[in-house]
Amino acid sequence: MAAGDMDDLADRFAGRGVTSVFVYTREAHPGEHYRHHTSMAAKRANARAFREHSQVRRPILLDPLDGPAHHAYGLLPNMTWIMLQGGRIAYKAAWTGAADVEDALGSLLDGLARRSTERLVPMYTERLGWRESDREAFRQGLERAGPQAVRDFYG
Amino acid sequence: MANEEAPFAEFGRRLHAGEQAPEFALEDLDTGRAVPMGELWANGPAVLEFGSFT
Repeated sequence: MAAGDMDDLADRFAGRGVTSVFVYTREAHPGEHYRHHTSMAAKRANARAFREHSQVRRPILLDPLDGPAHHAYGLLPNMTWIMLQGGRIAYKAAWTGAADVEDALGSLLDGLARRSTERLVPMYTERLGWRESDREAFRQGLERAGPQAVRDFYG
Repeated sequence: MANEEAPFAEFGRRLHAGEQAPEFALEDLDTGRAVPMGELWANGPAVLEFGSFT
């Protein structure tokens, strides 16, 4: 995942009242070096290693060990969700693509601003978005987790 | 190679835009404080990226 792009996005929108966080879930591809969490201490340790490696600047919030938030929101490894003030869901993406998130967030905020002077109401939409896919970086991530992670994925 | 498609179909079937987001308490990595998810969107929109190191 491109944490830097999402951090930059968080910085750009912080001045418009948007809160951005990284929710740390179970390990998507655990291996010998970064194992499945069996305790919150282990989860915290992996989250700190992730922050040191990725240099993510957003606050990291840990889902509890049994992953209630991750389960409720769909259990995918790198989702992004946008909520309106009050908690109404405005956007859900199965993967994180910073450009797609920025497009959705910009449109959302523009609509909220224009709503005070124009006759706008929300509408439901669905679309396929785009994200960058770096297969080599993905494989390097598996190798960083350990040989088991590589075997689990590629067989 | 692992089937990368199956979980995505389920993702599209539940929790849609316009619905109320479920709330759980998360733990701030730096402070250890329990953070109700509702706190994130109490004063404005919130962007939540889910992920892990691996």
